[in-house]
Amino acid sequence: MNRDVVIGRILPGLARPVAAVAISLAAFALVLRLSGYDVAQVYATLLRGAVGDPAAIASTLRWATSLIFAGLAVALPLRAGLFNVGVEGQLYLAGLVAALIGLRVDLPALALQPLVIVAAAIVGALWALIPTLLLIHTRASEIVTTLMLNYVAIGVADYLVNNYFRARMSAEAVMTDRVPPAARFPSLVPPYPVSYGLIIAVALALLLHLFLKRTKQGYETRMVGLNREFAAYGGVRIGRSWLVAMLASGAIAGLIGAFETNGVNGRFVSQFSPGFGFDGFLIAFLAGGSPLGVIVAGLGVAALRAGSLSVSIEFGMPRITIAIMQGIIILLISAQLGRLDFVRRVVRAFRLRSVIGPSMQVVRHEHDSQS
Amino acid sequence: MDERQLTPEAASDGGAELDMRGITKRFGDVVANRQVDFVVRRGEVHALVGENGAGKSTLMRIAAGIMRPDEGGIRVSGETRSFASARDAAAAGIGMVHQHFSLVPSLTIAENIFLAEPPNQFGVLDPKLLRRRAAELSTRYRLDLPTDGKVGNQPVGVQQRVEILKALLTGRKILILDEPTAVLTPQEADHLFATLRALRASGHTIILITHKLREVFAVADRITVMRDGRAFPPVAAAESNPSELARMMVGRDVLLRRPNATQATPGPEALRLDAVSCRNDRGATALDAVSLTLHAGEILGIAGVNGNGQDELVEVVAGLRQPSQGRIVVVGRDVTTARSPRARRAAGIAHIPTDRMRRGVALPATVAENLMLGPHERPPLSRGPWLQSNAVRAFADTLIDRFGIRTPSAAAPVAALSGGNVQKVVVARELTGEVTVLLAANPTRGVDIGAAEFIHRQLEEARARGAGVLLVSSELDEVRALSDRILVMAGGRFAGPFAPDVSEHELGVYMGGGDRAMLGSEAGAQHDGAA
Repeated sequence: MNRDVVIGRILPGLARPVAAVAISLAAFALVLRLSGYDVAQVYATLLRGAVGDPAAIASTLRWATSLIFAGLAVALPLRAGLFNVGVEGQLYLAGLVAALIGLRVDLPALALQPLVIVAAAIVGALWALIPTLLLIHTRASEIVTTLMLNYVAIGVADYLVNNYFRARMSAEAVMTDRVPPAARFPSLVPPYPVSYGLIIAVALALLLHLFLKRTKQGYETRMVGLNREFAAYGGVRIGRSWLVAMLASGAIAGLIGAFETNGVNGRFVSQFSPGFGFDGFLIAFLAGGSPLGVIVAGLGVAALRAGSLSVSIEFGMPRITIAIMQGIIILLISAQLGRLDFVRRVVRAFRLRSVIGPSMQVVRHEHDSQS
Repeated sequence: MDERQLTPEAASDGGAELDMRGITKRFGDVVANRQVDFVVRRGEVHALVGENGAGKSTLMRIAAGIMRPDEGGIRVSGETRSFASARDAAAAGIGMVHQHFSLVPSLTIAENIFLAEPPNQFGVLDPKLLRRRAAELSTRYRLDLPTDGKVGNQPVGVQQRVEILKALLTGRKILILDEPTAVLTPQEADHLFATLRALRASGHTIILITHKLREVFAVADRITVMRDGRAFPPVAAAESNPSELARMMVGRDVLLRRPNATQATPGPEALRLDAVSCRNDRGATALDAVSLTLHAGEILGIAGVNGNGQDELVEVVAGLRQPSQGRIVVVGRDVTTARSPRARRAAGIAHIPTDRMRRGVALPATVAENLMLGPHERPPLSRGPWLQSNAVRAFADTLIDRFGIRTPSAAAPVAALSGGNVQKVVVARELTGEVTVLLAANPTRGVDIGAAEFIHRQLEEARARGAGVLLVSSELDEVRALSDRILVMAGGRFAGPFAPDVSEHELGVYMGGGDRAMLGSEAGAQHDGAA
């Protein structure tokens, strides 16, 4: 490829997310200004809280682990044209199973920890299997079913913990006992809670990149996502692509549960996910669905989260305020996703055509003029 | 060819009704119109011809106020105008009839005509007045509309005349028609031309966007050819001829195909349908117990007006739609129960779909990715679960070269290609490998002359290699030129077979759902219409 082609293909891919982040930083500055904060100070604190010292960097990496997993869990189905809005429920059940295995199975760490990881992945995948089968066999929208199964998963897990596995010492919080050291993922940089989950997350991103670019199944998955009718007409087994993408997605979601529960928290704690499943969308969108991009976007959003903790402590600002900025980013980035056929359909359904811009309308017109 | 009723000179008083100067319109890096001058005289029928992507639709969208030019000015009847919207253009007297109608099928013709501004008394709808006005207008413009009939029950030709009337109501002076005959039978097209002549006689100025040269000479006074976003100076139809126009459109000599120049070597049966029926997406019967036999080494043409079951026929054979009854047999093997496109492809069926943007390609994917769908499953393009990127690139480059696909590289997205080259990607993919049955549905629709020529040659080569080709097309010229036998499809049934030298008129009667008995009476009506 010559230079022009490289720039022509990569630059638009980078320009949009960079612009989206820049615009949202500016817009957020305005919100801060109107609320009477010193913008420069807030942003300086944000930066310090993300990368200012070893503790800050460790905090960023701690969040990055789960956020990269979450980004991958969303990005993969997205490439197959599906929205897995159920990452939240999948990781929740997986987290419970991880804790229970840690508590009940007596094995040396070298055997126990892989068992915990694999079991959590299987639980996440099984929970994702339900909406996928419904989609393939009854065309039930996976957006609805995955979302709704979150409530089922969270309710069931909390019920089980509350009634059968509740910690002996806790009066208030719904949580299990601490898992024994053998089941606890060790920290790479004590005392900070950064486990080898981070390495697995990054390796997984590389693997998924290879999968999408270099394997038959990955190619078919991408074609299904780009134009499902084209794929079907060409003889691709759509259901198989969906199954692969969703099971892998659920399994990756399960890893979040494993590493949050048996790594960061050391036990299953009710409501332990601060919304990883939804942050996954922000990250996957920022990354344009690319697994390698998810590493970068995951680190970025993790830095934002780590920094926002400092800001909320130092300025007494509610942490939810940072969510405004994330919201702005996701709005701006969605405008780019006209490229994905699926998003196009959803957006069209909501008649947001003007937001997506002319490129999409051209495609639409061509569709119309051929039918 | 019909005689023109009025010579250009007599029809025109020499004044420019529409005068577009120095029009430039860019879409990103693509220049759709560059410094185009386009002048239409008052009271003429002006044909705007050119290949797909030549910029004719863009130019007319600018004239109709749908797009704004980056540079250049528009004068209507001598007055400088600037259109911010289609409403502005209508106020200046310009109306446009699009390829796709915007009619409400459940309302009557009269109600559709006045949908935007129904005649009313103090805000109360007056149905009587509405019907009377509609009838008056139909008479005044000699459109012959059954104004009380529901639009949904009318033939396409009548619906189109409703659209023409609507356009005349909004833009009273200049009428722009975008590829109006694409949906018409030859008889309906003749009726349309008669309507256009009548409108010209009553002082209207008509611009006809088309790529069918036959129509240009049937109805136009003057012709402007566009190529690559530029316009040639207009020529008088009386002083030009089809091959000259084709040369201007393409930029080189084009062999305008004579019908019936083909030879077949029919072999054994390749595809057989036994009393196959199916429903369309709305649940209505689309195929009504149709049977056909396609031999290896022949091209069987299916003619017909779009929407008479052709799409469903192709989909049923391709495995994209399930028949409600009947059998589908490929080389003696019953494949009716092999329901998926995958299974049908395994049986040797290749498919050039009618709507290439919908299912023929994945636009954002690269040329290579679009070419490899299917062969990617086998060596050398893959080994085990792994794609072999070198083999893929070599495979793509070979096809790009062999089929003359104009693309910056195999890694360019198909979305960056012109319509003709997108279609070449589809044809290249479908004709690679063993093809027993080739389903070619409107294979040259919206494709420029050069690419169409190339694709036709490919179909003939597929036949020479022993494939049975089912050519479904709404272009009669294409069906007659390529087919060894012709079936006409109307209302989900076949008429025929016909020999390729069958008259266009006879095919037209069957396309309209007629039968042998109607041939005589229709022929008489035909003369009346032309007179």
